[in-house]
Amino acid sequence: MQKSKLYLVVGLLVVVSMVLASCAPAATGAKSKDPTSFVAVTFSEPETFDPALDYETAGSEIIQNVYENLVWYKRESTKDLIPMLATEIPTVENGGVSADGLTYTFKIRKGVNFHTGEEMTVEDVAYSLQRGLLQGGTSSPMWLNVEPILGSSDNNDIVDQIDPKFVDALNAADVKAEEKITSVVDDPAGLNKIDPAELKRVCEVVTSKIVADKDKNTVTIKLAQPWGPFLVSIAGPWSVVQQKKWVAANGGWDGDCATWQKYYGKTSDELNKTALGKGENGTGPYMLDKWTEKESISLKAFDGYWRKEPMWEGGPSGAPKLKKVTIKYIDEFATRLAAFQAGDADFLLEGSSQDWPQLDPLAGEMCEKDSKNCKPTELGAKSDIRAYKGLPTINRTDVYFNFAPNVEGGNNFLGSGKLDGNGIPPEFFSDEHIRKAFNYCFDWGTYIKDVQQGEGKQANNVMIFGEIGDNDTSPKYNFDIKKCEEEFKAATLKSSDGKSVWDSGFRFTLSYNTGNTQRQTIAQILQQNVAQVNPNFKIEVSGIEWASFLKEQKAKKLPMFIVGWQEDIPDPHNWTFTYTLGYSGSNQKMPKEFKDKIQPLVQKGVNEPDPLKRAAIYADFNKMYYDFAPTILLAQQYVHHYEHTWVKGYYRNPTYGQWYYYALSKD
Amino acid sequence: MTQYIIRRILILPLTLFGVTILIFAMLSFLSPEERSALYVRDIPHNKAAMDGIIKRYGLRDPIYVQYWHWIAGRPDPVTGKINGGIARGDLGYSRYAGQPVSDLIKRRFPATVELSLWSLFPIIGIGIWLGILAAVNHNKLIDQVARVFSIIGYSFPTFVFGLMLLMVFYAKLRWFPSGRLSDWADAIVSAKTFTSYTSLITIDSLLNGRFDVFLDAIRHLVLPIVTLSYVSWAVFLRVTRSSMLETLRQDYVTTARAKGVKEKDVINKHARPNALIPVATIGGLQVAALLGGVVFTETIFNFPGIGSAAASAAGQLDVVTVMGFTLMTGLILIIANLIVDVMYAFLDPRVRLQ
Repeated sequence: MQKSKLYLVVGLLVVVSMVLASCAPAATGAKSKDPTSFVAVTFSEPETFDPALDYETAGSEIIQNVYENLVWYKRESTKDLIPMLATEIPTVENGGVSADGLTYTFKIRKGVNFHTGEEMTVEDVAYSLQRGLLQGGTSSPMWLNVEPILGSSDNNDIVDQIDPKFVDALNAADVKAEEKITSVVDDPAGLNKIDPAELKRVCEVVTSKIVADKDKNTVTIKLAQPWGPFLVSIAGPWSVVQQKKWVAANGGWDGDCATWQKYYGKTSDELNKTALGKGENGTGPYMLDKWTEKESISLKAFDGYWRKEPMWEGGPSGAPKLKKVTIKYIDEFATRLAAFQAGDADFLLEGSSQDWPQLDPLAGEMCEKDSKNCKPTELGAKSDIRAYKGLPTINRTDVYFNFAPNVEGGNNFLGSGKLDGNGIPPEFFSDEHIRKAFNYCFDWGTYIKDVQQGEGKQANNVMIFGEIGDNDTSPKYNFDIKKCEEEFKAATLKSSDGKSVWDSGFRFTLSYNTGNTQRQTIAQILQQNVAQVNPNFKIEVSGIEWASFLKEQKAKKLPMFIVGWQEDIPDPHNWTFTYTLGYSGSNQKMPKEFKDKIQPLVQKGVNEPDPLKRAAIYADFNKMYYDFAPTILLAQQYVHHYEHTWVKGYYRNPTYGQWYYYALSKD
Repeated sequence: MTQYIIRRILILPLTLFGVTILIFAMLSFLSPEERSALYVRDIPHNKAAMDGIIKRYGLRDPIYVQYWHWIAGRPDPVTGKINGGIARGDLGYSRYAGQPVSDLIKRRFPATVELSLWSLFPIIGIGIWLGILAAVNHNKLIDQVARVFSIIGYSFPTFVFGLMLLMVFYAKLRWFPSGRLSDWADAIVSAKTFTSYTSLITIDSLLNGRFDVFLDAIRHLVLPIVTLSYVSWAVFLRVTRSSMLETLRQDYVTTARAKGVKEKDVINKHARPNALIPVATIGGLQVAALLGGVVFTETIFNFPGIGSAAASAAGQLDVVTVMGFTLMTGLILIIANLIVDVMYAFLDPRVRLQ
């Protein structure tokens, strides 16, 4: 055959096969063709499936679908709990909680099988909680159980239980003071050098506090201090139940107190080399089918699921209605949207609120807050997309002042480093009037309108809306240019030549991590308003790469920074502690005087079991926090959710890692 | 010729390691805290967390020590067992992908190969055909149209073109989906009853007698191929046109015409083979570029190839993964260049005699 004819034939074959392919049955159109199979398109893949380590939303989503807790949240409620692997919620009234609030006894459900088919025992329950505490590591969520069970400590980690003299024994006799080892936190090598007898003792402290009773079929947990949010901590994905035998068979701790140190502080790359990180063996309604990294995770329904009665009134029971769930990880928003529009995905996770103006007009049905308030839009039946708006969140982005930025080795963020119009001194934000001035200079209206697409509300207090302590009538700052000016003029900080802040002016750099347009806009709002008050007040807004941002953050060089916090447990303590004595407070170098004043309120608040008394304690906390103004509390955002109209049963519980598939079905 | 080929092959490992040393040297400009960004999703909850990460992964070790660990492996701080080390056949662990680098490459590379192979025919075939057509019809309407076509293709950003195709042909018309396979086809390919002979789904599906899977795979390839082809045609069109025009002006072509050779034979037998010599160079480089992964196309169409994986790994400072991809890409480029050089010798007898 002549070459030209050969090329023509081959070319025709290619074109014909493509045409034939396009004529093949198309992807799902307006109706879902398979009501038993569910696809969600999102981004951000899980880090690991080990509940003792995983501390991010994507992993939590899988964990909450394949594993179960002793107690869990009742549908959308972040306050009401239902028994899950326990048969009842322990209370003082039913004897499940001791009168002093220090002992919790859980009655464990019988007839529950793991995905391998073996029955769950009380030892498995106790083991799971012990293992979590002993694996520890500050990258894990285990501090949430350490605080109540072992007591608050420097690192809220198991290694804080080691007698300091044994840690000190690791130091050579002639070690320099600055090189002395004072803790083996996140240091498995160091931990394994500690006296084995001491390590065994530490483990026995844990095993003595979490005890299984085979005869009574109970697990008893003894707390180190009364802890109001203890049950919600037990409801978190880090407190799910794993099978001891399976964990040990896959390279995890076998329950022997002589060996726990070998399993301490595991990282995800270590765990993900085994089934502990890449697999699962839970009791949940779904089993892990396949994980294709950076592409998708498939879950399949567990035929041996134990639940016979509805989870809540009208809730799911029996075998899962969705037999297969696929979660696809697609970084590019346009590609996710295309898959959703084509009907190849049932749920879509948008990138940010900036995507809402593009998505909302596509909806044929708009629901306000939940599925009971859905109304057709102009598109109506022409569209098979349903959108929800006004959904609650449990996170908030705020602006933090650094009371004493680090100047060692120089600090470019402070400009000249002096109050001379070209910089700020390190103690700049120690002046209360300056902090209040910045609060009055923040325009919440513009922020909510431009960044949150009008769907947000200014925070009342440190804790989020609806939590104990949150109060609409609490004092809060409002955008007031005049008051901003007054506060700047009232600042007591002086330049070296005696000039006031107002007269000398200042300049500093406010950084955000590149790509985060929300934080960029926040910075720009402050920049513009402060300059409007006094043109000599200059804030340079600068985007820096995540790696650099992290470095500067760790070095505590940023004079002001904008970060978000998402609560781990739906309890005000997760905010009051974090914003004063914990994570944020530490990054801000919060002054000791303030910490000493507020710490008793933080502690009292968490120890108090009575909600009304807690509210009164937090009212005092809120007033103190408002007066001191260590941050600019911004606005809590409401979010959207997008699905196809053939999906049934959706509800939003912001404490979940994304979605709970057992409650869903499709037409 | 044989000596030449052997020499080129022997230089290969030296070249590759030179590139890796360069990358590691650049790393020395990043502080341990910046390097730790790979291992943290959010600002660590306390100071100890980041210090622990830095110590655990040896990020404060001197660069030459880190490089050595990459070559020879790193002892586990608890067990002392040596992990990793490319000298031991282990490219290391991809933190970003959550799996060994070699597994990541093995899984992703076939997708890129499949996309590249299917793209090559339209890119080279149509590009060359259009170039010859334009040259033969110099300054006529076909030539003008072809040149405009090539300018548009050259200046049209891949990203924009791909997104347009995605929105029209997938989101709106639902003809050609993104990804590599539909879920039902993926289930068939993942099943134990399906034998993977080549890891190329289009070929394996035919070998397994699953024409439905073959068609599904082709459906998913259409848009990425069109996106890649349209942008690449322009290059081949211009080079072929220019080379063909020059060849058609040669004396031997004039002689052939004067001898009464048919115009069709003048073009196909006399002019075209010589005109294609420079195109061979570009073709080889194009193949290498495709096999190295096409980031934008793979990202837009969610095609799980090497390009998008490499870009994501680099963005997250996953050094180990980047080094693995660098070695792989370097190998492909060097082999591609070698093949092009050898092909030159076969295409052009003057090179062979030299």
